[in-house]
Amino acid sequence: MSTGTASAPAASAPARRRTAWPLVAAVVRLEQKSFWRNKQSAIFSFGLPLLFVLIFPNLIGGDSGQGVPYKSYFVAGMIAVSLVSSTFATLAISVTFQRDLLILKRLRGTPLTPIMLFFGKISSAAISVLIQVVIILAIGRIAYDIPMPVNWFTFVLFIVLGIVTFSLLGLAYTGFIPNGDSAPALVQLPYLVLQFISGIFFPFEAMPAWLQHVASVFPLRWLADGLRTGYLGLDFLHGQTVNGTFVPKPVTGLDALTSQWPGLLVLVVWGVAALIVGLRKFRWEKRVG
Amino acid sequence: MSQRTDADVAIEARALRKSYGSFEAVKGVDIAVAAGEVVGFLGPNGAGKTTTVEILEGYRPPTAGTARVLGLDPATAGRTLRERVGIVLQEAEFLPELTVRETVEAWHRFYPHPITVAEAIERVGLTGRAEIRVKNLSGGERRRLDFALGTIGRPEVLFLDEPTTGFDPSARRQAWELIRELVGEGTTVFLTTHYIEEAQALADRVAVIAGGRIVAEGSPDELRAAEGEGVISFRLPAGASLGELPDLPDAEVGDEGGLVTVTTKHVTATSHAVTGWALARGVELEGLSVHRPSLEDVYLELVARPNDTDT
Repeated sequence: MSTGTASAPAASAPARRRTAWPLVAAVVRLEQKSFWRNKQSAIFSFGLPLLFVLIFPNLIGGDSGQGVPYKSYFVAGMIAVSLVSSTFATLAISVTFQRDLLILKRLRGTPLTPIMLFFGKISSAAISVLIQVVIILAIGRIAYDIPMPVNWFTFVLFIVLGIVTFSLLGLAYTGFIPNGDSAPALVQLPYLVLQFISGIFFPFEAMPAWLQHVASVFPLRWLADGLRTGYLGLDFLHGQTVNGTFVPKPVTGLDALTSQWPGLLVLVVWGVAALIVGLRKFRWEKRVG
Repeated sequence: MSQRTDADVAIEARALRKSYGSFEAVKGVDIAVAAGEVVGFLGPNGAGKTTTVEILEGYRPPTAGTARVLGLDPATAGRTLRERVGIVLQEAEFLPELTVRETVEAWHRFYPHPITVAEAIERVGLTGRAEIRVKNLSGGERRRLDFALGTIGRPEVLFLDEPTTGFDPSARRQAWELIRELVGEGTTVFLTTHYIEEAQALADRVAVIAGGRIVAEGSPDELRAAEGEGVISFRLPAGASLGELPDLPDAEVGDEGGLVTVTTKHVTATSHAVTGWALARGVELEGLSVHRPSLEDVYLELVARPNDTDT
């Protein structure tokens, strides 16, 4: 068999390091298949926000600020809600479920590193978000005559930053969920309350000042504003109230992005905080006893 | 036995300790498993068995002492080691909505030199169930899938945690055959089990843990010989009394209505003394029997002993 000194047996040759991508891709496939086949997650996390986009603009008319129809305001906000649903809510619930059933433990016993595993999970969430965004933009365009995003750069940047921040928040949040049974309820709590006070269903500027301050502590309000700026080209952070009517500031080009710097900062701070807390609080297995 | 070099040691624990708060679950465990060896790890619940195995599997770091698997620290070696180790967990679930084939395919992608997906499914006998969603599998079928996932990467070291719990007897035989097949390929197996019979069937060596310590170690036969006490029994010949029996060192003599029982660790020597005495007197020992303890007797005896000698 030996052909000469040049060829060493394969076993003793230094093992060539495989890249991480096939393993990450395997995780994405597992997660995506699980997500779509689980009726609860497919209908609730993915379908419900889309259903709201189809229904709400038909129930409520009028303007949310001067020259801004409610439907435009709402549809832009629902992009943020869909993102939170597919990242924060979906990850927190599914990871808690996988933790309690020792699926995480099983995966940890394979060559998958934690980074590959979580990168795969976040990538899978990102795929769901992207599909939702495309559908919402299409509904907005077809049903409500809302133009495509006027400032793609700002829009995409907030989508990407939102996916990262809210995914990390979802993973860190599992550390505070005692078991899988309580996961849906504990996830709905912040998710629902923040939807109501972050300028999604109701115009932010119409809320009392104290409630605006409370909402501004949390990232959803900023994500909604950032996406609205990219989508509609209107800066709601620097608008003015004239004769009792809120007037957002039209922005274009780089100004659109820079107008949203407080939001970018808040999202980054929440993302970093989630990472730090997650590294300390995350559990791979259910609590014993 | 020849001197082992480090390269031949697949699994090694030295003075391993693990505390949870003030509770010390593992109190200084030493284990060495040679490459290609099958070691059965026995112990009652709460003896530190799971903790020890999980340290070796890399799921938790020890509080003190060292653990080495294939020469690497399992707590920190990560992917390099995981590619060479297979773990068959006892109660871990699967993603319920995936089929058997999809699950095995994912694991196939995790390892650098796996056997084929079809082969992995075939050898655990799930070929006919490959397209079934995992949530619809029976308990025994899930354990087979566990096996397929744990062994698809051609592991050099395989940790089996109660691998045949819930198997019917024929499935258990099949699992044993598969384990033997893997051992034949040179896989080192660390087998945690409740079934003494399983350890006896598969293991070259058995280690028994109780109270956080290894209380006995050796081949099943060695354990029976070293730890177990045999019983020699016979009817006392007419006209003879117990006092006439020869001196039997390290033996306990009892009389149950004419049936004499001699309990001893030195079964061979003692039975020789007893039968020699009978021959010399020219009498027949009616009902003579020599009972060796089973591994199960030895095990139950070992784990029942008070072994907490901390103080």
